[in-house]
Amino acid sequence: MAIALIGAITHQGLTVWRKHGPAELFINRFRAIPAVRFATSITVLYVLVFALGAYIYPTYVLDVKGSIADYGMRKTVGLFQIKEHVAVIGLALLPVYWHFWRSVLLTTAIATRRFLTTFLMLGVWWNLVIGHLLNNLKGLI
Amino acid sequence: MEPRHRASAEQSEGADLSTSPFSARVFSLVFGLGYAAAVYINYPLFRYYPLVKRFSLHDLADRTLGPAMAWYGWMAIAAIPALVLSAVVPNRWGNRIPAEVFWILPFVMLLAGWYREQSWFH
Repeated sequence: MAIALIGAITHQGLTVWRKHGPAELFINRFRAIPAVRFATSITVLYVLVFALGAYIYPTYVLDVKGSIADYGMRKTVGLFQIKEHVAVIGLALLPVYWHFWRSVLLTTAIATRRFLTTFLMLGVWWNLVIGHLLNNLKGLI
Repeated sequence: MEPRHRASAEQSEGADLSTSPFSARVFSLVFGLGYAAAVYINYPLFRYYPLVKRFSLHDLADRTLGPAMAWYGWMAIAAIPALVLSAVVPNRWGNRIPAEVFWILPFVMLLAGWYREQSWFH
């Protein structure tokens, strides 16, 4: 689910930055699909991934965070903590993100739609990368 | 069909929040600000102690219980007024909240999170 989410949000995130014109290069064809198609899927996937993450979070706190904290790696724990706030920021933005994609005319609020989509994309990538790095770090120590 | 027309047609296929009783703008704003405030002053609705699988409305401050998680409690205390207000405030009023507010909101939340967690980086 997380991989589906990151694929969809990356696709949409790149699409909102595409300039109008013929899609000749691969990257432009990749971004030429109407971004509005992804909004509902991304919303549902984000909620599911968030719920799953919230469910396994206590285990993560005890095993991963506990091990890293025991080794005195405070900055790494700090990154872990920031990750939880970034996930909630995405959750808070989700209703308004969906609203701007599905209820506001696509010819209006373009900059806001682009901002919300980009912020959500960066947040999802941040959480994926930090989550994996910390999990791998726990395997090393 | 031109992509823009196709996209507009697809947009109209979806549910329209402007006719729903739920105001997305109100929910996002109240939940975001509520979470930021709860994190900033460290006021969760409850704490969870994963080691002993126990919830508490108060900080038990007992090391034998293991680490306390305030995260669920911060979200819960922000979600309650957000759900109530987004259902009560008419959508036409909610839609008057300027779009620019949602450019600032994530940074306010991020600042509150940074304030709470900055001690880890010193």
